[in-house]
Amino acid sequence: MTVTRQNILMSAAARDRFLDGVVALAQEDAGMTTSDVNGFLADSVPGYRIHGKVQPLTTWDLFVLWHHLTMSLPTTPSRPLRNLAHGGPVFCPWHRMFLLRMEEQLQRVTGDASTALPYWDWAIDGGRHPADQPSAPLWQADALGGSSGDVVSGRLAGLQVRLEGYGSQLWSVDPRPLRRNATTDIATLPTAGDVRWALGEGADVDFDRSQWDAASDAFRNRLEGWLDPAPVGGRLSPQLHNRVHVWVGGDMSPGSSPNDPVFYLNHCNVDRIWEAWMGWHGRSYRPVAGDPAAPDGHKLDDPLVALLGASLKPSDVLDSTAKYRYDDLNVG
Amino acid sequence: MDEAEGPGALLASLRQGGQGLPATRAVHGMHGGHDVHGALDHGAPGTATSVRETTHDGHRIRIETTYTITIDGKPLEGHLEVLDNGSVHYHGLPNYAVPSAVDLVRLVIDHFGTEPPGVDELGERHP
Repeated sequence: MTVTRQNILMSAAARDRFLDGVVALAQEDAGMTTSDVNGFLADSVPGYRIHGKVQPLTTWDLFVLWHHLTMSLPTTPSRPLRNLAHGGPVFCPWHRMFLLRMEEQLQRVTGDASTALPYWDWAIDGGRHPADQPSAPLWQADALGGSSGDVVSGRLAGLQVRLEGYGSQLWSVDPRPLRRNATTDIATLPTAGDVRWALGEGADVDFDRSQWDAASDAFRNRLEGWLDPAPVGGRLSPQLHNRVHVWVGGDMSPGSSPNDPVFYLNHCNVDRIWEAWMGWHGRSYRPVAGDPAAPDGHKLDDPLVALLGASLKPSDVLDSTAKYRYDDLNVG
Repeated sequence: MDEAEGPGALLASLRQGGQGLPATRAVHGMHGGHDVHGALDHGAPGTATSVRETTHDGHRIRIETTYTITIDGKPLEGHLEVLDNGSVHYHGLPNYAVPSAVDLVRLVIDHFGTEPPGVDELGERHP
């Protein structure tokens, strides 16, 4: 079945089904503890483990673990900040796979095969006056709850964080509410103009290019947010995807960011922008399979790191229209 | 999908230790870790070396930067990296790149404090 991903602020039904699914997954005992997980990973990823408390985990927590673990795996050859999900071309397909797995789980727990991840078109909110952005409709009680402090009211009031990033480590902690800290580290969200720049504003912009890293001037890197087209006072700022993480702050800051459901809304919009780019440029991806100069784990037919469900390859997810479509690809 | 199935089918990959993992499994932030290409050397606790390499006008350039960072005398957990544009990145704050290591360590303190968030019971089980 092909589902339709909608703007969370344009469909109360899509919003409520998503939140129903989030709450259900966050309450569902996955049948394993942090100690069990360390046992599963001891041989396959030596050196990586969860620190802290022994406790049972939920299905929601396991997505946090998956993201954090993948982010901890550098590539060969290594480049600054590049890992097997970020800082290189695989950023787009790896997160597409991650979202597909979450969407399948939302469908399962809602018992509704038409449940789809919604997206947050943050560029619309980025067009608001900066003072109004933290109180935009997404942050009201009927949506995600407040943008600052502990989330203790609204639909997500019962969400409990059990795994959190501490430096480069993942810690199992006493369950606590979700935390946000909007505007503390950066004042404003990305804008429609930023999205048009990432897309090349009608000019030809490659999906990615050598050295396939955080310095590459190409669509993926603009979208991920490592390039700043207009530094203020010579100071670089995070852009697009990165800027949303930094703007929300709190639990969106460390590698455990999938704790916050807004992670999925952000990445769904990132995926939508990638889909729009492919609408202009075709379903092309670089680096091609077997490119000897490209990093392992980032090429077209390299397996993507999977902890939940089977591994896919970038080539498997370039065309996902059999699984989902977006209601609107006018992204900029 | 059927809710009655539970998450069981989803978890098979995790129970097997994951899929799609690379042959070389260095882990960011592992003290003493060193990948074969040398671009990341996590060295001793609190110490991190970044290597930037490029060419210009036919000349090969290599810039090696080592940070040794302590907070209140204790080594910084995790490592810093220098990006090609000179900004600094910390693995624990994956979406940030800031102009200086001083700025970054301030961010680390603001986000994580200076003490781990609890007792490492799991370390006692898996030292």
